[in-house]
Amino acid sequence: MWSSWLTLAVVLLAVCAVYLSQTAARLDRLHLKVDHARLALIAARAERWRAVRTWLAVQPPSRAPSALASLADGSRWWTGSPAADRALGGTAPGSCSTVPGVSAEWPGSESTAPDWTAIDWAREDALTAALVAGFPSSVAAPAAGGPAAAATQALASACRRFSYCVTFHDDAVASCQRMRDRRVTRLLRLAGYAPYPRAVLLRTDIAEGLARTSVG
Amino acid sequence: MSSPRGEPAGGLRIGMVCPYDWSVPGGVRQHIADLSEQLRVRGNEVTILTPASDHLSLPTGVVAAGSPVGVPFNGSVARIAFDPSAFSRTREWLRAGRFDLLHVHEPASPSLAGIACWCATGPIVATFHASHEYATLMRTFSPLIRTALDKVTARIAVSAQARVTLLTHLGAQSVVIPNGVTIAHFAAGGADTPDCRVRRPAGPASDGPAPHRATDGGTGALRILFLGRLDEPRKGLGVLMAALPEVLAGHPALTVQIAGPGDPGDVPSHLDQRWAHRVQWLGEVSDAEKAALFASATIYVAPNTGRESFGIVLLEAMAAGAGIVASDLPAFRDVLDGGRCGLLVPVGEPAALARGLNLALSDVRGRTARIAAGRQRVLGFDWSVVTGQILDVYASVMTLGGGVQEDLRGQLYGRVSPTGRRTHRQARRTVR
Repeated sequence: MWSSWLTLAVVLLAVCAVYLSQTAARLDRLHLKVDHARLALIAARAERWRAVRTWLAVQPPSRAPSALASLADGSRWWTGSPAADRALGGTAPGSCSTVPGVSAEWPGSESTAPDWTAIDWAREDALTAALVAGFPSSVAAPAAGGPAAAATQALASACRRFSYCVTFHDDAVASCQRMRDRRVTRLLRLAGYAPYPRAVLLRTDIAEGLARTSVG
Repeated sequence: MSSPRGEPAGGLRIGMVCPYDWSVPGGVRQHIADLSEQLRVRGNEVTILTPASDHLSLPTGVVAAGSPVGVPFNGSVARIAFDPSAFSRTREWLRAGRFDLLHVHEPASPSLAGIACWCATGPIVATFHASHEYATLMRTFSPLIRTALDKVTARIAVSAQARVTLLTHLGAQSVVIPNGVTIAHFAAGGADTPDCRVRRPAGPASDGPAPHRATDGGTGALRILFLGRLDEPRKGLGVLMAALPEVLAGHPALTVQIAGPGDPGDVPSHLDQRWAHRVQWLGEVSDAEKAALFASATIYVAPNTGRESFGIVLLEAMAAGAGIVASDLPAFRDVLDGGRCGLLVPVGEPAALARGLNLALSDVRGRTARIAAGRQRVLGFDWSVVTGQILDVYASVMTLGGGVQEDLRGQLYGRVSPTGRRTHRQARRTVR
């Protein structure tokens, strides 16, 4: 009699242990996914600023939308640090090597990524708004082959990637949050010391004048 | 990896997973074949893993993962592989492929796509095609599929409809990238294919690479085209047959062409002898034949009764410059831009369909305007645009590199497995 109760208890405990370890593993996977999505978003963000500045550089000043130009021209937001720019995914040639929007105080050179909290996300929404306003659906695509066409295509691609990265990041965050909010996760601290992830909730619309560029 | 200048990524090793039998034609299969071709043209290496009932006829780059079994799904029979041998073959394929990235299709179905998600870890892109009710399926397979879906890095929905389905049933965000169409192929009426056995429809409308469409002025020849399996009720052939007598009576110069696999004898028909000779049954047609048929059709009719997630065939008709009369399904409404590029008629009502067809046939000016709008709209669905968008998704999930690894232990041990711990530490170091 006793032995069968004992067996039952052991089996129940084992099932609980497997369930909890599975849940913890799943939480771990979801946090990892959020981390990866963050890195992707940081890179895509830098990429978009670079593409905007490259695009502005090949436009005659009269044709560049003024809101866009003034956003990209705020020199006080650039880091000016080559190491920082490298960390953001490589240094573009010429004047496009600086990336606005991150704080000037850069972590030590051994760090490989910018501080997430130092990024001014409101500025990203402002850039999206400027792009949407600057590229209405009526805007004509530049003649193929020239530097303007290449820059426009790169800008369109960078805008799409940024929008995709925001969506994927917030999606990863949402699924992670759902798991974090479960009672069993909170009571048994299955998430360990991982900070609670937050969505960036940025605009994901892409300027209509850029949406339909094609690749060769 | 994405280059700093923002060109689309090239030279990737991509593992594509098709959930349905490769030997049976279908929308998802066609999409995968076309997309893979587009990616290969741009210098990427693509291998497709698929169930196949006929192993001998598989083209290069397509790997069979066992024989499929028929499962009733979404109003038709889906032929999928879901058994232990499919598991082991998927793992073998993953190990041998050393992919940079996995692109699975329809992973919410219990199929090869789900298995691939389960067995792999790393950058995984998933495309969701169906927009019908996932609910039953999700409840049944929820624990297994949720874990697999956790691993998907990026979700693509083929339409706004599919995106909403994904959001309601999985609570998952996705980006909308439509299915692609080769505009040049359909604009040329299929004349760009080397297939010399093209069976062009007889008549004055089909004697050149840029076909002169039949109009109701002059010679007065009019054509209505229907495409789709004859034995699948959701394609709506029954509704069309019920509507036809009225339409045929009103337009003496009208012929109706019906193309698609199946037995005409099974179709419930209300046609009497007066009209029967004006309905042509063409049987199954090749791709080039399809393009030629579109190019010579006055109206392409899509009387589908439901469960369509995307109207790729409408896009093909638009590219070919055919007028369109379609059921007012959300997916079709989406593709036709709310009716700007084709007439929408109430679903499943023969009388309404007949009225719509009569209007489209007699109102030449309205039809021409809708065709022009369609030709403009379809440009955004060309493969050159769609492939660029998909490559951008690829680039945005591949920031860390590392590629796709086999992961079965990861499911069981999670953080105690050495690989899991290592990637975890690496990511933590780089982010914080």
